[in-house]
Amino acid sequence: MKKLVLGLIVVAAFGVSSALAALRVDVTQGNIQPLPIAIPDFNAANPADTSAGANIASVVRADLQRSGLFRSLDPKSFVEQLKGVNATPTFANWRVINAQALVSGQATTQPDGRLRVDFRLWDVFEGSQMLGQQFTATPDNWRRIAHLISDAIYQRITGEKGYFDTRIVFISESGPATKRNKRLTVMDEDGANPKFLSNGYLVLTPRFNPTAQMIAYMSYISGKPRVYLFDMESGRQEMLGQFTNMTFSPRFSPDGNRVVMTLEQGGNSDIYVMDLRSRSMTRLTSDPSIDTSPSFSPDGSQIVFESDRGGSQQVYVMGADGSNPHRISFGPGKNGTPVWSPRGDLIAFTKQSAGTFRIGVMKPDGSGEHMPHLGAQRTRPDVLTHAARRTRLANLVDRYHRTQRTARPDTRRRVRPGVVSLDPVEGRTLEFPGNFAKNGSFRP
Amino acid sequence: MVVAFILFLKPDGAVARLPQLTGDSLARARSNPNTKAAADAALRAILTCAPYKLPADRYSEWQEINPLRFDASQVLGR
Repeated sequence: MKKLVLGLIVVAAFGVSSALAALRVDVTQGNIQPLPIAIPDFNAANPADTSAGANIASVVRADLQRSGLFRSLDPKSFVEQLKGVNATPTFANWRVINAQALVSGQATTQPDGRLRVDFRLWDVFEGSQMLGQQFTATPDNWRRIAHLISDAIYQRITGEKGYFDTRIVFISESGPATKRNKRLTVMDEDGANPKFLSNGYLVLTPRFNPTAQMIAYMSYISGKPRVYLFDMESGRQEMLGQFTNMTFSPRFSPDGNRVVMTLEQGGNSDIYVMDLRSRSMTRLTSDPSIDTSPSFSPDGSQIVFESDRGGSQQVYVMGADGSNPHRISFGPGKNGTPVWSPRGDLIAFTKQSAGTFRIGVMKPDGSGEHMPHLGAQRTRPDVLTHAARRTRLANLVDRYHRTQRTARPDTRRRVRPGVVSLDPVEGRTLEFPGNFAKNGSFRP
Repeated sequence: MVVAFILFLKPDGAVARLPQLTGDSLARARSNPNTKAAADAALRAILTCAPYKLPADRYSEWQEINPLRFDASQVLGR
């Protein structure tokens, strides 16, 4: 293929210029492959730090592999044993296993008890250092150090900010079907460190505030569904607004100062925005149809939402002041629960057609609609939200799961929701272990 | 986003020396991390795909490729 293309260009140039002129070549196609990266366990000057060095390297390998843009090479294939972060590696030993990037690191407990981790990122082709940094924290925060290292490597190589040092808030469910316990839960982006924030009462659709340690969610604790704010530092919960009607589907504006939500009145649902500083409420839609599921654009100037004003559930965009609502989804089926990516270049949504549910992405003008491949066709994405730094979705997927054959006569299909993280460009999915999760959102 | 290199090849199609960014690509790569990432990826691609199968009797025509332009916008379809 390369030969054919260059042959054509050479023939075209021959008649025009002398034989000594340089060839001009345009490369306009490529295939995207994950970058092979070697991350050996970090060195430890003291034997006591050996497990920290191994654990941190293991989390960095997993973070980068999970992003889909890197392929973390198996440490068992490594030929060279690195001698600490200040030694220059012998790059031939890493080229031979086809590594294109290499990370060397070291973990050292300081005299004050804190853990210091140094690392260097090397370009194996050029044999030069791309990055060198150091992080210090209390020893039990070693996972955060690993995620910060992953963020730094990711950003240096892709140019994009990493999202590994982020958290997901979601509702985890446990207990028997008749007495389900739903708890507001926060966990690291890789599924580690789950922490329960609430207990007992019914809580849905939690969302992080982009700038503060605060979560907005909907709760039935007062008997009717209402939007609440939960301050993570004080643990205080506060109802938003004094409405007699149901409020739900809250989302923060990018600057954290406004919450957009749906208010139901007499069977009609409309979108309202509340300014958190003045607590004033402004109505944004006034159509007799059901308007819901609002999400801000990253510059805060527009809102994407779902409406059935055209006869079926579709995706619309309007100004943040409610002006100029216009439809952007025109594909077949019902399209809803839209979410705007933090980069502003994509809107994710769910599409229901011919009995199946799928997740799709499109540009904000509605063009370029496509469905990244999702494993099980019979999944119903419940709620979508984008990672703060990247177009990665945590979609809460209700998977229909066949019950095991048991002696019990009841063989109804049981729903097992889970948190799934999806890359909308590559279609790569990642499922989190553990039971029953619903409605997640990323924290920056 | 476009990054451009100068590539010198040996008669067997191997890369003669490390390709350099040309024109305004170097300045743009220094100021923009996304351009730098694209340039790094293009450089890795050039080195990974070597050696190149090109007609040996026409070496004088392809020993210098200038510019070798990578247009990333088409690769991702957006």
